[in-house]
Amino acid sequence: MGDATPEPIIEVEGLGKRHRLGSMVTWSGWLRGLLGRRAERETFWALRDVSFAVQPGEVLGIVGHNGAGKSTLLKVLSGVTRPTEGWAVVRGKVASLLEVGAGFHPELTAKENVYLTGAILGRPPAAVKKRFEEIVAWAGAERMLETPAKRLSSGMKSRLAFSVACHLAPEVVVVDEVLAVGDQQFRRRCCEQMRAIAAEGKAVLFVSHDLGLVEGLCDRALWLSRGEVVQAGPCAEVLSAYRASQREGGALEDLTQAVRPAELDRSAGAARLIAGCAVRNEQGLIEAEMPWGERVSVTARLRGVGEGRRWDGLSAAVSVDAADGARVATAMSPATVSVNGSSETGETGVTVGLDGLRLAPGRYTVALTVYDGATRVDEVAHAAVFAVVPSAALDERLTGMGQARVLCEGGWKIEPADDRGDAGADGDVVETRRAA
Amino acid sequence: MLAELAAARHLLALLAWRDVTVRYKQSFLGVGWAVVRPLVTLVIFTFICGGLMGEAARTPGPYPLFLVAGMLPWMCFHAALMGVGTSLVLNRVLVTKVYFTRLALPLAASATPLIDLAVSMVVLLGLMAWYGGGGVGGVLVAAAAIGTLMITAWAVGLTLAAVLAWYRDLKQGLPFVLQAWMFLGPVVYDIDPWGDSASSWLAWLNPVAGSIMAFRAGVTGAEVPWLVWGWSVLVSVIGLWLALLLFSWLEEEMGDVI
Repeated sequence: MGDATPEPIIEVEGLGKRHRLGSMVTWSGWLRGLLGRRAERETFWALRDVSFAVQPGEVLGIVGHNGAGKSTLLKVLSGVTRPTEGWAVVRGKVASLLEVGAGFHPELTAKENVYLTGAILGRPPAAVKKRFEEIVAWAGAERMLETPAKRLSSGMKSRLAFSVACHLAPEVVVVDEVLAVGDQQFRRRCCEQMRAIAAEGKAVLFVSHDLGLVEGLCDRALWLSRGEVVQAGPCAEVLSAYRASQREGGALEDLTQAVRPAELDRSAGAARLIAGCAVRNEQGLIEAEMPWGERVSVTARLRGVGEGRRWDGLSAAVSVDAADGARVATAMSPATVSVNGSSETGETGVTVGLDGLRLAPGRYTVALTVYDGATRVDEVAHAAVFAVVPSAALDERLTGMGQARVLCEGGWKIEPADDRGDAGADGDVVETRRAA
Repeated sequence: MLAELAAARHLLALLAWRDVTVRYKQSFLGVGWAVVRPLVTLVIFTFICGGLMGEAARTPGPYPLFLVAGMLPWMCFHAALMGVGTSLVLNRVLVTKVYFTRLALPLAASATPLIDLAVSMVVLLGLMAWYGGGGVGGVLVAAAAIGTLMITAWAVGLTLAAVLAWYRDLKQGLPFVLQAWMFLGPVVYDIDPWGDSASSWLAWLNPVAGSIMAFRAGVTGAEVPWLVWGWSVLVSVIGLWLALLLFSWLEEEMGDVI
């Protein structure tokens, strides 16, 4: 990502899409509308304030839970639906790879379906004909050409559909969860093919719940949650943060494979010690969302599997970063942490309670660093992600005063200006916070 | 809109070709159905209307020729209306995933009825040869009448296609409406637009009446009812214009609701 980047192939700015909930049109609603009493239908934002850009030659992975807005985003980019606010510019045509066989007509033969799929991708039959041999050869469908699609295996159908899309790809190719079927080898070949498309200076948008696949394929990733961009950036970073947020009910995120900063030199004593990270609430449960006022604690799990030695006197540092990257807080454990590298299962847990830290509502990333004396032994910048959400205990006037990251509790002393002599001295300290 | 259609012409052609191919794949009679259907209708209606109701006495010329000359354009209209009307709903996978001008789908859907009609013409040509019908000029009038009939089919079909995207259930009511529509037009019986019976009004109120009467006149070699035909065309063109307005107005939201 140099300074002189070429013109992005996709540019999205402040994109939002609002859907109305419930059935589209009902008689009662229609009657009310007729009577001039327009019932305010419940609406929700499928996408809100989404901004990103994709450069030519880039493969962008889009991850997020079901209902995070991935499909809506793709729909907006392919022009199927219009955004409610913001804009999206795509410089070129978009080809969406349909779910397996969805574009195929069951009664038509494989050959006929290849031409039809080509037309759906916006290619005239002549263009399909020119690359027909390649398309068929890649899918391995030479002997199936006259077979009706309904008698093809789903694997064959997806191979054919994918092959057509790849060989006739326009400027942007959208691959939405279509590789879920098919075996390992097919997926590997698809990934190679998508890389080849990107190498031609096209852009690939890849949506999948298979994070391993995303990791292996994408340069950058976009993490959506409830219609908003949680994080966008280098794929490995986004994925490790996303994985961290996915933990539920006590499962601990595996960080053994997470990316480490390049400056950590293994020859200089660096080792992969950080095995996991968890953010817990007051009850000690792993939670991705904390109501404001909750006591948050962070646990780092350290393990030295494969390092074959033992560490003593380590200290673990836990840092909390705000969404904009600013470091909000850092806490350092005493230098008494030991890690046994020879044991397969033994893990050292280091927990720090961020009691005094009353973070303002927002999203935060946890970074873990392990020190051996003054040397940084290991570091994971996106070990976990959590959010602080407003709660009843939060005095809204506090957040209304600007973007403070820490809402200080303070110890207040208020001295009344009356003439009650020395009555306003000690013991008259008034606690204003935590009144709710 | 036209530029978008031009850009989607290959897709349009392939979709039309797909509909036609699929229609006759894995079938016993294949294209033969296009001949069997009018023949069966001919037998049934000649028996019921011509024989039982004595309708034959009131139609100009031989009843079988009269009937088929009305039935073929009506069947074409019926099929085109249904095809155009349901085209978006049937292709919702494409509509919600790929962008191309939505008009391509209804347009492509009108190819199959025309090809069916062309094949069915065998029956009509046979009857014309037997009973004697219009000459080359008459056939040209009939072809033009099919053209104007399609305008009517698009006007109603496009409106239906747009509305069906929202209210899927309206499709259930279609067969009844179409059946009533057929009997309220000069399909199985004759309507004199200048007479003073109540049915004369139908020639002016039913937008397909003019085209069907023109088709029949061309085929049988009778005098072409220019005024009724012109009126039908005028109403249909205005209808098509309104339908296109509605369609392009609703097009934006279709991807969300269909």
